[in-house]
Amino acid sequence: MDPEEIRNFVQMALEEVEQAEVFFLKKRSEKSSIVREAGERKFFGQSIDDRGVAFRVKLGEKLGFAYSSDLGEGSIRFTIKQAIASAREVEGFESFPSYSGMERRVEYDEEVEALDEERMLELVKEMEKAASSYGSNIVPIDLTVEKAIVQTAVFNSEGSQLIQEGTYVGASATLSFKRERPIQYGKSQLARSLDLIDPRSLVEEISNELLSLSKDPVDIESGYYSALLSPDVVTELLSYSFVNSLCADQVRTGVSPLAEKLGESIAAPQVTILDDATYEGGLYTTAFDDEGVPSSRTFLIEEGVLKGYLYDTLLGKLREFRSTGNCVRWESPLWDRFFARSYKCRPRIWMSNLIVIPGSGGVDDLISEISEGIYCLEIFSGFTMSPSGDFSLPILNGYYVREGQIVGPLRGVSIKGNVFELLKKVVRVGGEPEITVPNNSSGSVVTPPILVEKIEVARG
Amino acid sequence: MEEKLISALERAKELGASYADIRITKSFRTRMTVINGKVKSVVPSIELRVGIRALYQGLWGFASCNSTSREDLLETSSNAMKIARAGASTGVSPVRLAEVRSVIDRVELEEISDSRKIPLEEKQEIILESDRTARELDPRIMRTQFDYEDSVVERYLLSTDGQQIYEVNPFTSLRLTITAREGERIERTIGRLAASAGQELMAYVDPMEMARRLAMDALSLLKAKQSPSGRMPVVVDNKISGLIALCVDLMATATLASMPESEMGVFHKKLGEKVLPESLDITDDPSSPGLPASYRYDEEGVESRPLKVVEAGVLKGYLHSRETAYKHGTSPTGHARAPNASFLPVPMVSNAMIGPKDYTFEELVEDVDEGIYVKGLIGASIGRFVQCKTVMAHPIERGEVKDEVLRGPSIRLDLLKDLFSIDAVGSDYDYLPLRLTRADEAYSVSGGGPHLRFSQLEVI
Repeated sequence: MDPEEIRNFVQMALEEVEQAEVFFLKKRSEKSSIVREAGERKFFGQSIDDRGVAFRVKLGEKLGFAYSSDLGEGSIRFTIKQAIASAREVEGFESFPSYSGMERRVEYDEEVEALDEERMLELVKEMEKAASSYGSNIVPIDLTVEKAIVQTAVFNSEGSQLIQEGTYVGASATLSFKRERPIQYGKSQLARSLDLIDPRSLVEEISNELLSLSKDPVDIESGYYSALLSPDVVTELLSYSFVNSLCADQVRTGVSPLAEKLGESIAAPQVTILDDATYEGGLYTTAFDDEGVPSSRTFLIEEGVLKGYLYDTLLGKLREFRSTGNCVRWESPLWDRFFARSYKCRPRIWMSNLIVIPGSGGVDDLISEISEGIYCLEIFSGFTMSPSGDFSLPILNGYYVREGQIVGPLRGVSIKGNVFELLKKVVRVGGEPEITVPNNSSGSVVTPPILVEKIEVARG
Repeated sequence: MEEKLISALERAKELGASYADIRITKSFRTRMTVINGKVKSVVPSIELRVGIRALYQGLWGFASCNSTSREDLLETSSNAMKIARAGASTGVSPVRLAEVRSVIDRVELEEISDSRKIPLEEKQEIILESDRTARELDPRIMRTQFDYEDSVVERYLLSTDGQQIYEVNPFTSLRLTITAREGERIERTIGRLAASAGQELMAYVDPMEMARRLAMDALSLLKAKQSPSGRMPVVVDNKISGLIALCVDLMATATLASMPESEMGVFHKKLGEKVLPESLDITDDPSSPGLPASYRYDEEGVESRPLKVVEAGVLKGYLHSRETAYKHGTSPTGHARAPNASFLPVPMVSNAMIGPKDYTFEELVEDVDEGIYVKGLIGASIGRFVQCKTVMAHPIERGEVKDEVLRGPSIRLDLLKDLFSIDAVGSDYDYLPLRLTRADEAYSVSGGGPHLRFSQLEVI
């Protein structure tokens, strides 16, 4: 979008208010898939352009918000009026942050920009070919290659004029193993540049896993076991109550179980977690957050000790701290594989890239340490977790492990526990991090597999 | 407007489309959040989405934008065709559409109130009053949150088959979240009201009574013990039977029922077969006025009507779009839905209902020697295996529901097996408004039914 046009929107608002901020987001996403329906292959391709602006306006002690995806002058003027009408007192709000900056490309890959429908479809066909080399028992259910180019801008009356643009590319595959009760397993590779995805190897990884998962299942008794949690499982466990409890607004109102615990040991010493919007190649790596504060990294847990919380400008001021650059325009149920942010959402505090600092060792090394336990590959989404962090989640795909070896796949078992207790039970963090996204939240988690002890495993 | 839309369709035809349609959704929405008795935010918005779908040599191309300028419409139409042409190299099975009657119609709000015309203060009043009811109950109620939303969505559909439909759909919802805290123990209860209506919603239901009940529940959960786990007799309330109705109807959508490779494909080729116990009749009815997913025409211009999905345990019908109806050699059922015009229409559940039978609540529990009565729904993952987190439970001992409150357990059921252990169907009826989310798609749906008794069910 032309910066002059956004500047003009700010000016239009300033005709009626003391301070104004315009957040602009434009997302162009393209997707090519071959899916299977009723035993037939089906092609699915789409291109979605979405763009819109959100206004925040300050009138005295009050702050108003409204948005529109219609950028015509009439609609913009109407939206400004709506923002004024919606203004409410916000404790402690004084001013929008002021940061100057220039147009900047962050994690922008021109090869992603150049990736067209034909090439995307070729990559999908390569995935199909890779799957077919595993024989007729492995059936592709959904093979997808997608990309997006996202531009965000924050302009305000206090001098901020910031624009950033980044690219995203991903491959995802869900395959099924044919048997009386079919076994399905899927995974994605998500990145900011094309050279970091390898759709063929993704299909190979899933196919090999499926061959193991399709063996005869093992029955285990309910009880407490060691568990190796895959990156996807760690992500589902950390991305709801845990992240919520680190947000300064939740800490301030006392809702957070981590309130007043700074400096205390809340996890095993192997655990170091930070929020890092500057992480190289991260899906939520940006130059600035959704109110224009420069991106930064924030230590949350260092060697088991709670070191910090996440702040935006307003909470930073109220808690006599500074913004950690975690102002995020996301609300449930907005979801996007790459960048779940929108002009439609009011700014709030949330994670960007949550980084679990790796230890050492691959999956096999970690499994070799288990005398009796489980390897939990995929679980149901953790979004039903209580604010206290209690969870009870079925394992979708996983294995029983004995004497350092996988014995066979598990069916019909769940893991139960409390996420804050679980952090204390970490015995080893693996050395090979993966970029993952939670199923019902914004932000990305970059984590290796994690080995925990004494997790409750229940049948059913 | 119409002339621009016709030009966009003509562009697709010039480029070789055998069929094309253009859908526009314009949503006027107000969201309001009240936290601890204070209006924290009001978000008015206008969202415009345009989607163009073109069929070329039996392949779909789909493109979407949020502008109705002539240039953008023409470009979007060309993009849809570009995608369809790229797909021609995949050699997939061609799509055909079932014939439909061409309809030219306008559906207005008629006697339903237009929320755009109701002052905010009026909408606020009942919410603030409900909030007071909850907070004044007990000082341990530490946080209340009311998320209110109303919308009026204007939908246009124009197709090369002669459909020309304009329909306005109202929707209002209120989500109540009550948090109670005592020491380290935090408990949260959630309730949701929704209807295809304006302010009439508040007359259909009583938000104050609901707030009071949720607050009482949150307080009683503070002292609640863990529920027993394992297989046992279970009586479920309307919320959970509504969820079951929803899952059955979802599995009966023609797309999922066309996936034998997936666990979602449980009803594949099962038409006319006994799939559930004889005591169950399940329908799906988008034509029922007021329910959360109510509309006159679906996204392909097919008039809505009630559909018998299961009758006396026998699978009677699938939920179809034009495409799936052609494949099954039948007529579309009016279930082609999309969250907005930037999504392709697919067969989707609307208002799912299990028909009540003749057991009173007392009769349902009187034969249970030792079991539990589970109530309320926090969230659920659905498919053939349904895992739902309930709000609370009470023990049933010797035919009597005890006052003792248990923490809401999770229950897990296999739709194909566990529903056969339903041995009594209640005579009452209530429905639960839900949002069905899958990745970035969210549909308003509802599930309703009577209390049900399972002779055995897995409680986790």
